[in-house]
Formats: sequence, structure tokens, C-alpha cells
Amino acid sequence: MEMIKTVDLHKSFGDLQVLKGVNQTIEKGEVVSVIGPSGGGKSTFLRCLNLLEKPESGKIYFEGDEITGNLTKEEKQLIKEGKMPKPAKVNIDLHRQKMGMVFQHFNVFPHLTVAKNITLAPMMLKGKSEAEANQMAKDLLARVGLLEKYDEMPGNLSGGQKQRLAIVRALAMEPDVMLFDEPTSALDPEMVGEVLDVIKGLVDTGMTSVIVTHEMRFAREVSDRVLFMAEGNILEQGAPDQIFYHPTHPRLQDFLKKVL
Amino acid sequence: MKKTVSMILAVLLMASLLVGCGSTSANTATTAATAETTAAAGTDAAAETTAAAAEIKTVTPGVLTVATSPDFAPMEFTDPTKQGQDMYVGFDITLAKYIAESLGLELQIMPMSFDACQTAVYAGTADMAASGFSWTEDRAQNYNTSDYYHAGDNEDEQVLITLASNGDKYATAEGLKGAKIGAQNASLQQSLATEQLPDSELVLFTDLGTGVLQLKNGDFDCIAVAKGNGDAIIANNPEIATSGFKFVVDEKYTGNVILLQKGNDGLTEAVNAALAASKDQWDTWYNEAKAISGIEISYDDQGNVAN
Amino acid sequence: MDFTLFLPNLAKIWSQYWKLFLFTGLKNTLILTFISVALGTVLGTLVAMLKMSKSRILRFIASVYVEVLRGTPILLQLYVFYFVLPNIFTFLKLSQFMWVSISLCINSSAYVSEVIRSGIQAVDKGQTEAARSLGLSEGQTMVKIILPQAVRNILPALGNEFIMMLKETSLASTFFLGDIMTSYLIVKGVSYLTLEPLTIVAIIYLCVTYPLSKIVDRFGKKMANPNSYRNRKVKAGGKN
Repeated sequence: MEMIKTVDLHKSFGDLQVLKGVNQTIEKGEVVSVIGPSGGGKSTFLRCLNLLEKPESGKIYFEGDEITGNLTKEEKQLIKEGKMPKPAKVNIDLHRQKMGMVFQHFNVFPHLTVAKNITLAPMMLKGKSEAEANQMAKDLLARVGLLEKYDEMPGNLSGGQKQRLAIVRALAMEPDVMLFDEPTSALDPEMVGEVLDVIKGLVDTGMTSVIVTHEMRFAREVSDRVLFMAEGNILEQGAPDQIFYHPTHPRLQDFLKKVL
Repeated sequence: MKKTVSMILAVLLMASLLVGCGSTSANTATTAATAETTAAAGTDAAAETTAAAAEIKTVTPGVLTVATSPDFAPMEFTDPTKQGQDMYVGFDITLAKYIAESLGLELQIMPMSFDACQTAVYAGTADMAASGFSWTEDRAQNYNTSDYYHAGDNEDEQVLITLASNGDKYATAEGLKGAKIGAQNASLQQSLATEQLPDSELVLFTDLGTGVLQLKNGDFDCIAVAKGNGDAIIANNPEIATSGFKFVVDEKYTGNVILLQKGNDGLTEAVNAALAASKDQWDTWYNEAKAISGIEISYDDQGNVAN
Repeated sequence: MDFTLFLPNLAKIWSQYWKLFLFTGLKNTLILTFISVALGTVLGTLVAMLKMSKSRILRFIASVYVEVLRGTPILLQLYVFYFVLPNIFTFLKLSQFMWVSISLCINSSAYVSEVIRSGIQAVDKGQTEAARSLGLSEGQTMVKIILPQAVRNILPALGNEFIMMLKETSLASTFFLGDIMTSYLIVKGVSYLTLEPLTIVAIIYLCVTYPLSKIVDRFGKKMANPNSYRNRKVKAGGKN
């Protein structure tokens, strides 16, 4: 079953074209890593999936629903002629509730306790009672080894702990897919492992995941499929073994030579 | 979040309370003061002019609003021991009280800086400005000016004051050749000094207090002032004395005028009538004002503060 | 210049008028300042919201409002509020004290709106992204995530605005509203002494502004540290 499907996605910042027509389908339960050089469009692609960046054209289907509200030329013509009803306005907030996102810089909420970071959204948006939400926060924190930090402020946490908190904060919304945007790039080397372990534990449960990463070994270990993005498009994709051991595109060969 | 909301609410509440208090207390003060003025109103003057009051246009009906700059003893100044409208004393205030009484109006003093006094009349915020204004061509063009009134020797005599240590060095036009004479910008003294001391150097200042400071500082050799102001200055600054020089003062400059809004001829006439009727009392008023002006610092012969 | 009289005169003026300077002058200055900044904050929040709104017209109106008030001398604004507006809004029947207060409030609101706007914009963009990615709406994000953090940028700046306004209110003396500078004018008017009462005014201002700015400084430094959020449930000593 298709979880996310993008059709001819275009995005530019000013004169700079960052995405040049990306077509991609991510199946339910699939773990997809996105690798490639900086400025190649990896992060922008990921951030388009939950519309933190709005693509100028192209479509994104999430669990079957189109979420960008973008229309093709043909569709615009049909609506003008009255042959097609105008599509209803998309409420992106509802879709975002089902897409967890983890950021490079954690973005935990510094003014809320560790527990409150987790319970805020479920209580506000999913009508969870405080008791329910607190219990869930405890379970999730226990799962990532942070239960003892339950009542502390995020300022007291290390980088690795903050990122683990950010992951369970996203999980508390019980999302259908998790988007990871370079989750270990801002961490001190000794903390990378603990975060990767948490992500690995998560994908092992069958969580659909899209992971933008520079950790090649990790990508190889956990992914079902690896996308190589450069110059605003996916230049090569396939199983990890194929991408890492039998690259065909010269840009990918060149890239792997530099990073491995 | 609850905390933030309650904080904003608290600020709002406090602010509205304060505004409430501020306006009420100000209003009460005004009402109290006006009541007293009315109570103090003499019966003689008020009775005869009630007929005239009917045709008089004022900003607030029944109230004579007078703009003045009460930082200019003895013409108009502030008695810090009093509250509200009673604080304002001096010759012009007494005169304004008399005019209001004779027109059957309540007096409302609006204190503000000298510059602002003219604006207040121009903008229609005040009915008139009584703040020791001399008559000038420009003022006559933009305002109705009243007839002249004389505040004792204040305007009749225009003198130079200088440091006491100068003796009578600057007593004559001869001695003043090349001397630096300070005068307030756009004042009568400026024109007098220009006309009568052409061989001296004229330097302008914006406010009399600053002028005195500059004189003490040696920026000027003398400053040109009205006699009354000069006396008040000397009373508080024992190192300053009159130089002995007196200007010849032209008839039209010897008095003060009241400024009224251009075209409000009814009120102007009424004010002129009140001025004419009060002529005999001017000297008394002036001497009374002079008697209560001045900070009570006494000096011995050497100019030291006597305790 | 002869300074031998300076200290005796200073002492004499102080002993005679200290009540005027402190009980009337300082009191009125503090009241005026507090009203101006408090109401200015309420109004300024509104203007800041307009300036960040999606409507181009509202943004334009707010910009003009802020630029006019910040780009013209406050004395000029006082004249307009004291002489012009009462003639237009005759039905309001406000006292002179009120008009001057309103003028100072509105002036303050322009500065405060910028303080609030920059305080909000100084909150890391990642905070908005994290909140929106969880599914919070724009409004929920503003109320639950951004404003609580922005307050920490805004409060110290508001303290500075208070100190600035404390000095700006001296212009109220143009209309003898009884602030500290009015006390100076009163004393100068009767005594023809300037330096002595001005020295007293300066000392009073410094006695208020110096400790205030020290407090604001310390407070601001503390607030600037993102790790300084207090744990509300657990006492500082109670961790582990």
C-alpha cells in the first residue's frame, strides 16, 4: 500500500531550483534512506513531504489524499469549464498529526518539562486525558531510557538525550510515518550511537520511515531502499547492497568514493 | 500559558485602574480650584459686567481659559506650597483673575511653556495667553492683542545687569563699546539693544535662566532685562548687579499685552474694558507679586549665604 | 564661573523644595511612566500582531503607525495631542493630563510593538517547525510555544523601555504636569537659579534609573540563557 507518493515535485528558493520534478513512492512499512551531497535537495524533499516547505508545483499524496492543493494545467482548465469540482481546502494540520518529524537541531521545547514536551500535542489535538498522556509519556521515555528525566527541563539534557526526547515526542502522536532530517548531524560523535539505536529499534517495529542521513553504514543496515539525491532529483535508487556496492550513476560513484 | 494570560490581564487591570485614578483626581482638583476662584470673586466687578458676558465667546462656555508660563517671577510663577489652580501666582495671574471675575467667568489657568502659550491661543485650546507678552508686529498679525498694561516698573524700565565685580564699567554707552550683550531671542530687549547699543556685540539666548548662567560663566559682559526680572535675578544671585545703564523705552514697548485668538473681537473688547477699569490697582498687584517671589536665601555683605 | 555659592544654594534649595521634587515630581514621573508603558504594551501588542498579520493592508497601516511615531520628535506629538486632537475629539472631554498620557502611551506603543515583534521573531524558527510538524495550528503554536518563549526576550526590553520612558516623560513639563522637570521649572521660575535645581533633578533621575538598569541587565542576562527555564515541579535541589 502506498503511504506517500510524490508526482513531479518542484521547489525553488528565489532563483535557485532545489527540486526539479521528483517522483517517488514510499510503501507502508518501508524504511527509506536518502543520501547525497549537501545542497542536493535531500532535506528540502523531506520537508516538502509534510509541507514545512510548500512545493510550487507537483503533487503529494499521503495515504491517498492529495495534500499540496497544487493543480495541474489540465485540472485548472477542467475546473474553469465546470467539468471538475473545485477540490476542498486541505487541512494540513490533520495530515501532519500522522507524520512525525525529527529535526537536525532537535527543536525540543525549552520552556516545557520533558513530560510536557511529549504530552502537549496528544492532549491538545487528540483529546487525550492528562492521566493517559502522562502514562504514555512514561512508557515512551522508558523505551528510550529517559524515564528518570520525566520532570526535568530539556536544558538539563545532553544533545543525544534531547534528540531521543524529540523522537518520542513525535511518536506520542502515534504517527503512520516518521520523517528524520539528519537526526545525528548536530550531535557529538559519542552521542550518535544512542540516537541511531533508538531509530533502529523504531524501524524494527515496522514504522514507515524516511531518513535523510550522512551515516552511510547506518543507512546500509536499516534501509529497505536507499535514494541517492543530487542536483535536485533522485539520480539512483535501490536496495542498500546495490547502491553501496554496485553504484551505476557516475555522480553516485563519485559521492561514495568521497564519503566511504 | 495560564500564567502569561493572567499576567497580561493583571497589567491591563492595573493600567485601567491607574488611568481611572489619574483622571478622577485631576478632575477633582480642577473643580475644587474653580469653585474657590468663584467663591473669591469680588461682588463689585462681577455684577456690572454680566450683561457683557452674554456676547462673549470662550472655548468652554462660562470658563475663561488662560495659558501662561508660570516660571517667570514676578509676572507669573508657581507657589510650590499650594495645590491645584492656587499654585499659580504673580501679576498676570492676579490680572487674569480680575478679568475673569469682571466677565462673570470661571478662571482656568493652563500652565505650559512660553512657546506653547501662543500655540494654545492659536489652536483654540485657550481663550487668551497672559504671560508677560510684549507687543510685536508679528504677534499683532497672528493674534488679537489687548491694550497695553503695565506691571509696575517691570516693563517701563529696561536695564543691563552685569557681574557686581564690574562696578560701573558698563554704566554708559561709551563703556559698552565692544562689550558682549546678551538678550533673549525675539524679545523686546533684543530690539532695544540692537537700536541703542550698535557698537556692542549682541548675543542671543533662549531662556532667561540660561542667560543668567552664561553671564556668570563669562559668556556675556551684560544681559538686557526688564527691571523687575533683573531685581529678581539680583535677589538670588548676589554676584550680579545692575550696570547703571538704562535703555530709552519707546511708548509702544512700555507695556505688556494679552494675546487672544484672531477675530475674537468680543472677548478682546471685554478684556480691554477690564484692563481700563483695573489700571489703579496694577502697582499694588505688582508689589504684592514681587513680595512673595524669590527663594528665601539671604546673603551677607560678602555675598555668602547667611544662616 | 564662581562656584562658591553652588553648594550652599544646592543645600538651600533641597531643604526648601525636597518635598516638591520627591513627593510631587518623582511621584508624577513614575505614575506617568507606568501608565505609558503599561498601556503602551497593550496597544503595542496589538500593533505587533497587525504588523505580523497576513493582510498586506493591516501590515501597511501598522508600519505607517510605527514609522510616524518613531520618526517624529515626541515633543511634536505632544503638541498634536494637546492642541489639535482635543479640538477634533471634543466629545471626549478628557483632561489635559489624560491627553498627555495618551500621547506618551501611543508613542510608547510604537516602540513596544517593535520590541514585541523582534522578541517573537527572535524565537528559533525550529520551534515553529517542530510545533507545526506535530499538527499544531498557527494559533496554537503562537500561544503554546512561541509567546511563552518570546516573553523572555520581551520582558528585559520592556524594562529598558520603562527606563527610556522615565526620561521621555520630562517633556510633560512643557505643560507643567507636575513631573520632576516641572519641579525644576517651578524652582527656576522663583529663584532664577538653574544649575542647582538641575543638579537635584539629575541626581533623582540617576537614583531611579541606575538601579533599574542594573536590575534589567541582570534579569536580561539570566533570561538570555535558554537553559535557565525553571523546573516548576521539581525543586532545584531535588533532582535525581
